[in-house]
Amino acid sequence: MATREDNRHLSRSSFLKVTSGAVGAASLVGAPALLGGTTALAETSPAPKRGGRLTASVNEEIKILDAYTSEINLWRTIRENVFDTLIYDDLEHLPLSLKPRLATAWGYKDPTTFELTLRTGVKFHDGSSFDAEDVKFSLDRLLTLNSFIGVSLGPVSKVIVVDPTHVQIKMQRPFAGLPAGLAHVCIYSKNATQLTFTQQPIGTGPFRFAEFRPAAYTKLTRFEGYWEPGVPYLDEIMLPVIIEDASRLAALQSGQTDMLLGLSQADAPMLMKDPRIAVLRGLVRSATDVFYLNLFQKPLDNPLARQALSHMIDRKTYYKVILNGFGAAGCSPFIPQNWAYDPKEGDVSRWPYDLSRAKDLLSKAGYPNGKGFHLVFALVVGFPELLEGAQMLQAAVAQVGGSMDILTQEVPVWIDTIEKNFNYNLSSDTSSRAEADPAATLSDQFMFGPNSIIGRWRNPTVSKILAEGASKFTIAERRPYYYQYQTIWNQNLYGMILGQRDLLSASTRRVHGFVENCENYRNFRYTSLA
Amino acid sequence: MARFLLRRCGQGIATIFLISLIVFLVVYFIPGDPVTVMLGAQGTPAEAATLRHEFGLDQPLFVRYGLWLWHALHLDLGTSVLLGKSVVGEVLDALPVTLELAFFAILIALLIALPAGVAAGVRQNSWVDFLARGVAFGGQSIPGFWLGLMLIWIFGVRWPIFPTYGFTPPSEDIGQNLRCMVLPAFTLGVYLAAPLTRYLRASVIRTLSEDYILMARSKGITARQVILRHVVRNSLIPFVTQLGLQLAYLIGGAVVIEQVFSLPGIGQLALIAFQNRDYPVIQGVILLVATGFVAINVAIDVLYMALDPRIRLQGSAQP
Repeated sequence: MATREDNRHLSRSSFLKVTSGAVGAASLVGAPALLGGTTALAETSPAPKRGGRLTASVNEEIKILDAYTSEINLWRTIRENVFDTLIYDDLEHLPLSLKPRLATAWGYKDPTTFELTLRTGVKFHDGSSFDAEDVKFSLDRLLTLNSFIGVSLGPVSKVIVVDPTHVQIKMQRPFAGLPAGLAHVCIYSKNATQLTFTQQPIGTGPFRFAEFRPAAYTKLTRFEGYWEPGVPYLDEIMLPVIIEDASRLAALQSGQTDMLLGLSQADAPMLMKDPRIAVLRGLVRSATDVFYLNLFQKPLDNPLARQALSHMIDRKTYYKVILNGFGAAGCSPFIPQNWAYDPKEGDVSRWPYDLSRAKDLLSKAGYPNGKGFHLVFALVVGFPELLEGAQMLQAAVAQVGGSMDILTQEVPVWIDTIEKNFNYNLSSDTSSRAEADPAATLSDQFMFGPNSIIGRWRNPTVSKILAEGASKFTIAERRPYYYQYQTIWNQNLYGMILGQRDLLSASTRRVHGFVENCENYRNFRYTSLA
Repeated sequence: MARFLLRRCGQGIATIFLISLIVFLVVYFIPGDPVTVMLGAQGTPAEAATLRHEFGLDQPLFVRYGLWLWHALHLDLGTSVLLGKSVVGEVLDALPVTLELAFFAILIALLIALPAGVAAGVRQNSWVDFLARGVAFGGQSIPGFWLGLMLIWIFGVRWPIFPTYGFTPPSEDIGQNLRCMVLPAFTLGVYLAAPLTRYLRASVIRTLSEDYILMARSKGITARQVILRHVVRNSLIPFVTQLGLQLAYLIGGAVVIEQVFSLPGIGQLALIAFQNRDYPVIQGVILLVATGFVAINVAIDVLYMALDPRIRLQGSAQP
């Protein structure tokens, strides 16, 4: 197997061609990573200065410290800096690609045997050395947990230690999404205990998990033994929890904090007018807004009713007005730059906002002039833009003669609604990985996959199509399956895709070298303070 | 006196026990549990079952309550389901923040309410009275979160004098600690001062009409001495009741103020525990608040005796 150099440029594999994680060689119109102000930080950044404490406010508290169980945004950011993955999904440079991290080379020996060459000279924060046994331990644990993250690895059969620097992953059947899936698997030491998984995370990342006060702050400190020379630059990262958005903005504008992670699209225009502040946007969009549907309850058990509803959603206005232009309307779970994106099915013109067409379809569905067409929309409280989107839809439903109730619920109540009592017709969430390998985006139990936990839709035909698509290894062979998937999705409308939104953060001018990550895996390795 | 205290303590313990049982049942029956919160909508059923078993959430209700009560009697309030930390530890971390906020808020409230209430009562229907009542009315009408955000904007952003968020322990930096407390304590203090002012004003007006006040004036004692020695002291009894109730309320944490200023106090702890269905923390905080209420009420009763000898004598005369 060819050995990859320890640099940022991959040489082509001598094995079966592996689909790279996301976009491949597709060029991207350079979306600016920096918005607002008059100085482009990325263009005029001085040489990085070592030292200092970065204070970045967040607005959610960590609920679990286990890298395999929690997917909340803040935890993604923290684990990106405390742990390393084998493969790194680089969403901060164009073109998007998978790059070496704890694995320096990888590839398929045969369609069901995936081998990785591991980096040497890596230490965990407790001083122990990293080797193949740690990889086996981590992957075995992940697979026994039956977690959401584990599902994206596909049908893994077993993990074999070949020698201290080589690991083999045996698959039950070919699965091209494995490298992209591994990009989200943090590596634990084989010596990890329950304390490591619940209170004191220990990884090989550039920062140690130094201190944690629930609902108050998290502190990360530089790991001096990090394997990548010269980084990180920062001594310390403080992540204070400030729940109130107005307080977070005040803290940033007063200079008390250096960054604000997870800036709302509603607040971004105001900050863009402040010359002291830079608003940062991911290079691509990855977060897909979806109104997903309960197909087991009237009236949306009727495909004509679902089609009518899709014509009532004004997708363009949602992104232009409610999200202040930070996003783009579309009808695909993939962004246009993703090779799996079907322009015919994904363009917003597939489901234009058209109330007269909606009325027609409703009549055919048995709801003439909208009579009897009543919906319940269950939403999680605390997402004003989703609520505004629901209200926009509510107004459209009223215009065609129907009615819609909107229930805003706490998270536990909402989960009970969508998983236990099913008293809803629509709900809403934002899914990720619109830029990723489609095998990862459409993994079993993911929002868009059949056997989805949230959407609860099942379609054996789709399952078969996705399994076939994931079992091939070239884009040309895989693409037709994902096109077919998008056609079936739009024919059946298992959910209403609105489009993809930008993820935003903001920083003061003293922060350099930070690039916003569209999947919340914010990387502070190359961040420094002026 | 000893019998009185024993009786009050006994009543208090029974109250605390009943509250803990009611809270346990209510929290159990509301939708969701900590596992659904932890895993979110993406959690697989297998994951959820494993976690529920790990946290003992699959045990029968009476077993869970019994175990909790047994440990609580040994001053062990259990472990936070969400993060595996001891509940006692989390409460002890949060309590000093709330106590300090409460102390400064009450201090500011007293600094406003005492002079304003007395002046308004003594000079009833004068401009002093109207001003005091107007300020009291305003203080109670303005939402605390709005006032807090305005103060943050003015004194944190526009003229950056005070911090806009967070808490620095006094052991780390006493100066910064006090600066952190100014804005939240003032926001809360203004709100608390309003009812205190009105109570004291009404009490002063009532006391001024008492015969012994007329007697004192007719004996030639100056108005100033009458007010300070007789009126204020006798007006304080209902005032102390109100003050006690407010203090007890503050022990539970001023949730809105703590959220606006990101203070990691009991209010924030309780709110987050409730949102995340962290049962042991909810139970622990409710127990603390209930105990605080009971203790403060007992203290108020004792203070009454100090303020009013008649109550002392009545108490000792009871069989």
